[in-house]
Amino acid sequence: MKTLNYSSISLLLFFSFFLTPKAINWLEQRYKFFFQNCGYSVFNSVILTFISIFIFGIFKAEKLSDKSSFFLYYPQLRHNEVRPGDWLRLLIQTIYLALFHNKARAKRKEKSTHSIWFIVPAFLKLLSKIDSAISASVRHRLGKQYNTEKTLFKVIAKASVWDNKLFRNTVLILLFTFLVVLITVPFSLTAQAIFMGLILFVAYSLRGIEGRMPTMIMVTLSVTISSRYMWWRITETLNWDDPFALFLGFGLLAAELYAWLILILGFFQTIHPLKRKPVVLPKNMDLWPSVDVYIPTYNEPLSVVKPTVIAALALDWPADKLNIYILDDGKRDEFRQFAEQVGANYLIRPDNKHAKAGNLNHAMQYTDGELIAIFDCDHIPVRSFLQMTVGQFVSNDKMCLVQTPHHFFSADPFEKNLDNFSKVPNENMLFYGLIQDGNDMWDATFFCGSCAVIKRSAIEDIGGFAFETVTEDAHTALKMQRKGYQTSYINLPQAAGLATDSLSTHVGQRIRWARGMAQIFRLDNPVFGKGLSLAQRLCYLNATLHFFAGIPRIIFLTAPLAFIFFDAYIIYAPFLAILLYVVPSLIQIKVTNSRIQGKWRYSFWGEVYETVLAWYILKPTTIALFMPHKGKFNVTEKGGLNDKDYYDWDISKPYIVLALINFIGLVVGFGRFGISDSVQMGILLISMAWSLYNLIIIGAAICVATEARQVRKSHRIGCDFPAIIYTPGGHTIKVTVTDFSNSGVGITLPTEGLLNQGEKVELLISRGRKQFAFKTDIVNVTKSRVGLRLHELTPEKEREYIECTFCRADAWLSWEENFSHDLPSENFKLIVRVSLRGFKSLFLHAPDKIKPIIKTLISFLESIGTFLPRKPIRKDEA
Amino acid sequence: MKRIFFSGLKGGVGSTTTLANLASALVQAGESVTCIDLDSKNELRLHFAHQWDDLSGWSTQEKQTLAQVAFADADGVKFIPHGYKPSTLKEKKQLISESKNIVFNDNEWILFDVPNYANAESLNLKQDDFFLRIVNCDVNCHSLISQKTLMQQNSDEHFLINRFNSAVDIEVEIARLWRKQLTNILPVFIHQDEILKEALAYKNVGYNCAPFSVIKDDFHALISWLKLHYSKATS
Repeated sequence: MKTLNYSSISLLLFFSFFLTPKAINWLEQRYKFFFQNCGYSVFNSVILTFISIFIFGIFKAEKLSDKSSFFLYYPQLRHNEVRPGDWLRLLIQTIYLALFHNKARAKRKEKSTHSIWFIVPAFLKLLSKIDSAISASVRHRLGKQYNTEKTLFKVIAKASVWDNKLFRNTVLILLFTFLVVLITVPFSLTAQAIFMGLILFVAYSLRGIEGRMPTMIMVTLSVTISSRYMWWRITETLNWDDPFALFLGFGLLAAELYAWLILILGFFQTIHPLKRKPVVLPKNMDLWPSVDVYIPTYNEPLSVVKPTVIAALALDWPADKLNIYILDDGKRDEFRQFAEQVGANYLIRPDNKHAKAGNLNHAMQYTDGELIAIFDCDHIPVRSFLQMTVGQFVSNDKMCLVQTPHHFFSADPFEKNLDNFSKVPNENMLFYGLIQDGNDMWDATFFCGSCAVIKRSAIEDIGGFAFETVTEDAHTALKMQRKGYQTSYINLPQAAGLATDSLSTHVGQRIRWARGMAQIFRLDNPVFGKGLSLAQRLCYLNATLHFFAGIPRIIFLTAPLAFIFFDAYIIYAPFLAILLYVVPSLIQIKVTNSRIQGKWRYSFWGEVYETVLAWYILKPTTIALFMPHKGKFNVTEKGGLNDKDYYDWDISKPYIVLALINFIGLVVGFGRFGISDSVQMGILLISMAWSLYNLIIIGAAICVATEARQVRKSHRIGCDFPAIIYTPGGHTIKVTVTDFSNSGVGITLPTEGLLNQGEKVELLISRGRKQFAFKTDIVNVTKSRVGLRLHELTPEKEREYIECTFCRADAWLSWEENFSHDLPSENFKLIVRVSLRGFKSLFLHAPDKIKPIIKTLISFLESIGTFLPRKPIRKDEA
Repeated sequence: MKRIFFSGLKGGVGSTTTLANLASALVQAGESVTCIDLDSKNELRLHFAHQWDDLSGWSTQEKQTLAQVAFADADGVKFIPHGYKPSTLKEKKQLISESKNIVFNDNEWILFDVPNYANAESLNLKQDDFFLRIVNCDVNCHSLISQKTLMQQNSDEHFLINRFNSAVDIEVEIARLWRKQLTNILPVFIHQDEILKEALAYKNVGYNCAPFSVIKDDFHALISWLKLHYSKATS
């Protein structure tokens, strides 16, 4: 205090010679503010007071008259210390504030109106207003009755002329010719611009309209535009004079052709998803077929297999027509005892030939059910599984397979490591939500190894489960379909399981699928051979081709570097032509895919999933293509846990290399920017933009390799069903169960304060007319949410618990409702954020040797960052 | 007119309590209800907050002055207490046969509290009367039911399980057994909840005292079942 008095008094004395009392008072306040409130040293406080004078030459005085508002304008200064360099920060910020507008950043919701760009949305708004006004008036003129039966489309579609074969074929040929002309005719750049503009305009105006017809039009436009692009690429853009560029150009062209083929096949596959409904079983139970349930296992722990077996035993089916078989290739006594205890059958075999397919084939010799239901040992079926599926067989003699989706109640490595479980649809959802339903339309649903029912006689007809490939499931279905059997898909999750728990096992599983599909492509190509319809061939072809995506993906991830590093014009065309062909095609395809797949796969995520797998499926698919008999079945491990975050360096090596060369490419690109002529500049710009996009996608892939820790071994599963709490005082309370796991239950009370922590209560859960009671402890109470821990369960109680929770018929039905439809722009932002996180975690988990260097680098960059001028903070933000 | 006769399989199974709660639940569901106590113990009135030292009832009155002993509780449940005088089976039968003159509403629910020694036959009940035997899931009740089955006495009675506690293994077992053996056991049951006993201390029924208790659901389920039963019976 003494110093304060001393210094301030001396200052005041000094100033009183020059200034008015008011000004002195102001200065005193400033000084006190810096010295007392901010805790700066005497020297610093004095200097800052002087600087304030300077600052107030720039600002209106009242702006800073409030003491704390000083820091709103200087957010980079700290309240209670002066760092070396603060003088410079102060100077830079002051200059910034003096030269540029120094208003605080506007609130996000408030639209900034000072930008010229606000005209664009306003213009669009005006257009749509005019549009709706015109349509309203036209509709009014036409009369109010809107007859859905007599729309132009329906009148044309139902016209009798279509019955004439000649007429129909003529129209088809004309349409086809028109399409070919559209695709192949060379346009001038202006014509191309108009053409693309028209297509995008049509697509844009269809955007908001629901229904299949607009989707079909969008698909047609996408097919036209992408085919036109491919035609242009082949005929006009190869640089025949430069052998090196031609070689690289061919590589890119091949990758693009592959992508184009997959795109067209994908459109075909998903154009009209069947959405099959279950067939009701006959009332007479004697007509219900007998069912064997196979649960093959190899090395999974009993704790994983147990719930599956218990759930299978609890399936709603006449007991004399239901047999459960544990097919244990691990040949473990523990399993035999468990099977005896619960009343399941236990089968082992002398060898382990042909892995899973061999195991199933062996079991078929000892069982005689008309139908075989197959569950992987960690897929827990709900009680209604057979009720929902078997009807298909009863109503249709040729039916050989009913597949249901694989649903996972734990997060897969993507969801876990990116922390987006139940926020972004996972990798599986596109396949089980859309593609299998699409396949079903063409009678080309294939078997996925689990959660399915198969007709025994059909399997016997093809000589048992196929064992030539490592994906026995798809191949078995293909073989049955060649014999003329039909398959079906019911998109109701009737079983749920654990997802793979680490990226490496996930990748391992996908490698197996990729290898198996490539083997099928080689050994039993669906395009050739007899027994399939054209549509089935196309669907199976897409399924087998899909996993060859490795090489094309790597090509796309490196293609832009060809120009940046080697000056190779791999797309030999002027800048404007590339822009006019590529960008509209990409936009159109993205928008169409978002429309078709948006509920099950968000934009850009497919690229991330593919990028992660690309490098790893590249080798096995290539090998399988040339040596289809090599490679063995590897079992996917599940149910593990890791107790801390770590970075999987092994698996991310290829992405790091890709990221590095793309980054260098960007830097080199910037370097070349100044020394390029105008022709090169355009191409360089496109290459760099592409490279940047690649970098973003690779960053997201890198983020996936950061293994988040997984502490809880039993997964909490969200749910919503009623239950009863029986308090020690003998009262009952109606509650809602909101989540459950192997060891505990989360409930919501009707009101707060009914239960206390530490109490022992009984939890009563009804299943049908039966009611089961479980002893629990209350472990936590937060408002009306209560966590219960189950007491140690006896085998009998454990069975009841699984029946009351995992086996509920409605347990997984709401899984799709969590996801809203895709919004491409939002997802792009999300991917960018994920990507940045990926690069950050790459630095955080760097090896110890280079860690200090990286740390210094980061802190250096950060401290440089503090020198940058910033926008003032708003008051309510501070 | 829907006449339901409540009787315990033995004493103390909670038949009077069940009747009183059902009456309140029915009234709150918009139905018109009259309860008549046929049991000389005269305890039904206590559930409806009747003054405990008022011992009048139908047994103390002449037929013409029955209106003087008809009461209504706060919910609007109408009831006629038994009164302190013991009554004979004949008097009970007479009251039952006259009950349609007591009420004016054709859709009225009339709930009778019947002593446990009576049965449908001894009360001379008609085809459309509903005799509900309240039971607890215990060995005692089980043996009594078996006894009745042997004597072929329970063909015109329905059983309703009261005070069911699924946390007790033997109750679960007995309930499972009954569901298999007995054709006329109601699929709905009333949970064990202390509030049903405690409510009497508040001069009320448990149905009104515990807003979050599962017995509320139980009585709703019972009402639904009864309504379904009557709609089936009429069609």
